[in-house]
Amino acid sequence: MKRFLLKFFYGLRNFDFFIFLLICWEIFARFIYPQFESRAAIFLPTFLNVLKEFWQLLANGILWQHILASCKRILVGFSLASLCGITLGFILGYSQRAYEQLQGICQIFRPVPPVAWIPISLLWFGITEAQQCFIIFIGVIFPILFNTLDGVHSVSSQYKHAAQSLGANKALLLRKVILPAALPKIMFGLRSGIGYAWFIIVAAEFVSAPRGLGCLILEGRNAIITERIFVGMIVIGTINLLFDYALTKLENLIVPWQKVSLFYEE
Amino acid sequence: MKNKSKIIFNDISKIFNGINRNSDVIALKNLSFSVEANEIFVIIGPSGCGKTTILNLIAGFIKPTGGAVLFDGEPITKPGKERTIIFQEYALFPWYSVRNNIEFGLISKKLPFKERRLISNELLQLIKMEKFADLFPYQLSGGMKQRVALARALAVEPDVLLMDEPFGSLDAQTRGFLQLSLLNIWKARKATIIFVTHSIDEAIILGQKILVLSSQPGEQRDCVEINKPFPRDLVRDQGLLDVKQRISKILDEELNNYLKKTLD
Amino acid sequence: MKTLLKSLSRYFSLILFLILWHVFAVYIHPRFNPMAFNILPSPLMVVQMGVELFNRGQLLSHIWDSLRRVLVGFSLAVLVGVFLGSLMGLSQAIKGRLKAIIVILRPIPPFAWIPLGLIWLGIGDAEAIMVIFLSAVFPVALHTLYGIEKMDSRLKEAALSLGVSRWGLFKRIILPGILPELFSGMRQALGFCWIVVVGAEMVGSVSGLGYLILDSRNLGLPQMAILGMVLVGLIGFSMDRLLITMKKLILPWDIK
Repeated sequence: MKRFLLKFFYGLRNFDFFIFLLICWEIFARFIYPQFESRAAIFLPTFLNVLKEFWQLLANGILWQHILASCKRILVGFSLASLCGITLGFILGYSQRAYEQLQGICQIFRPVPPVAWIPISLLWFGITEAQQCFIIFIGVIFPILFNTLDGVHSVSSQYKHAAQSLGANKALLLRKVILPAALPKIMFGLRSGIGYAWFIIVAAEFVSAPRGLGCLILEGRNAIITERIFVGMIVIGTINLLFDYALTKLENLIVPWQKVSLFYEE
Repeated sequence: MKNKSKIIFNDISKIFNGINRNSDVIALKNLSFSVEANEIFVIIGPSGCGKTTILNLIAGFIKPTGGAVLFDGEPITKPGKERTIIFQEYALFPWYSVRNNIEFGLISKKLPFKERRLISNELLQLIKMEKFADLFPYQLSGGMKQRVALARALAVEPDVLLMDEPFGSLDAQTRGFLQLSLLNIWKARKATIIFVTHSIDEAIILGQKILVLSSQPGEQRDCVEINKPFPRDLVRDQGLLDVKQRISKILDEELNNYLKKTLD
Repeated sequence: MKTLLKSLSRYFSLILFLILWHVFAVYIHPRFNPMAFNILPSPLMVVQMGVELFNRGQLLSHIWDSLRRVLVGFSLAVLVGVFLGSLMGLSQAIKGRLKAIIVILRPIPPFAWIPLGLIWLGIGDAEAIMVIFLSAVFPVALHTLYGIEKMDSRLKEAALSLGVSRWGLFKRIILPGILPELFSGMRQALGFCWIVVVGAEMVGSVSGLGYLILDSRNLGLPQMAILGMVLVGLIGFSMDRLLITMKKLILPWDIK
């Protein structure tokens, strides 16, 4: 525990530059900028005002509503995509024939950004939750699928040989060798997927959503309350960070033999 | 005449097909030898002579292009636990603990939990790693990993134990320790061991029969029998030193041939 | 002949897909829904739309607008990113502080910057370029940093003991040493840029492929959306391949 605290506070000193920038921002936005721009508050609200807005939104529960709305969409889209992506990825990675037949289609759809799907998905689903989840789904399924495929495909033949040489049949080989061996790459795919989901959801919510963090940002823009935009941005960033942190810890738990270092620990 | 040899190589050729005729690799050419039961059979030769190919043929991962490989009189068709293999890179399953790695082969045999535990405990004692039973491979040193690989192979009680330069990536001391351990295990369990190595010393320390191969394509250059008891003294025993000289000479010649071939 | 058939079979599923799509859209769907074509146009309609837009000169101009924004934003991001990454690689103190800032800024999705960009820079190229820049600068900077850190210090020591100068060290050892990692960062960044430009154009622009896709809604022409999607996919894929080819030419010794 002591080591953790020491590391934490030591790492904290790296933020001195950041805090310096915050102070500069505050001073500039509050005292200098308004001198030559009457609408300064629109272009660059002060940091303290942003905090005030954050506090207000938090206090009257609106912020939570937005957060939950976004999280719900991401969880639904992500879970579906994980299910389909891992299953398909497994099939394509394991069976050469399936790969040859189906990989063409996947490669065709893969480079189309999920954002580009928004208008046509609106046509198909209308302005509904399903449409939002669909965008997440279509964006996240490909990284998961291809990482799973890669994971299954690139299981070292040494492991397969060793297992066969110990008398394993095909079923045992699949369950106890190929699956665990592919796990690191599958987890990596899932982690990429979640980051990508947060990447996309903002765009999806911009175009059509009554609730959600992207929507919060849009509100801020429409009502010209720039503080709200900032709040939305910071909250999304924070939640994205938390999700990634949680998934990395989970990954290290499930796949301890290939420890992934947290970006922030270095 | 009933041939009681455990493994028979009968005029074996193995060609790996390249993109075209010119890039075909002739790994083995007209190779014939036999390995008796409970014998420690060592294969030594220069790089690329096909030592690993021989092991892969016996293990059943590949089939010969010409000739037949017989195990107890029957041709080998697929891999199986009767001819289990130990790799130089250990190939321990990183997602299993030491104990679970050792018990892996037992799961395919469908043994119940209690029996598996008994066997793995016994083997852990044998390789002197009882305290490390629940550690994972990534937490072990090279020598420890190799001991686990050995125990894992022994767990399935193979007829033939194939070892592909298993001690190659270890330091000299660990190597010596593992060689002695292997001899002790062999004495206790009486298995047939086919051991591939680069090191002449190792071949003489372990081998009862030593097959010396030429450089590619692999053909038999010599087959030396050593009837001396274990452990062997490579420093003072003149007989052994003579054998060492004999093999060294052949390997030197092969190296020169190889250099000539590649530099031309 | 056999190899020809084999390579064609890779496209088998694609051709089958196109055929099924066409059959469904033209023959089956309209039986259930008289407005079928407003929801799912046939592949032919998409192609027709493409030809029409091309003839009017709009297709190329939209494509060029998107490409232009990406190229500007990406180039800026590479310049700034390499600079920042190198700074971080040279000094631990700078690395810590810049990393602290990146940790905070990177998780904010580039799309989230769009409204701010619109307020600051208004509708047009500048705003799109800003967002594109933000999406690319972090991967480039970080990969440059990794490239520097991953470099085997023994390579530098070996070179120094062979009598190379400071500049020579940089030019002949460090630069080639970090290029592979840098390329991989650039590849990732370019991918982001392309995704982001489409989104940025949807929300804050009057030209470009993203705008084209969005506009299809206003015009009630879903084939325009599909055309846009196909083009975006194709161009994104081609740019990626181009980058890989460039890498093979410039760094033939790096096999990955």
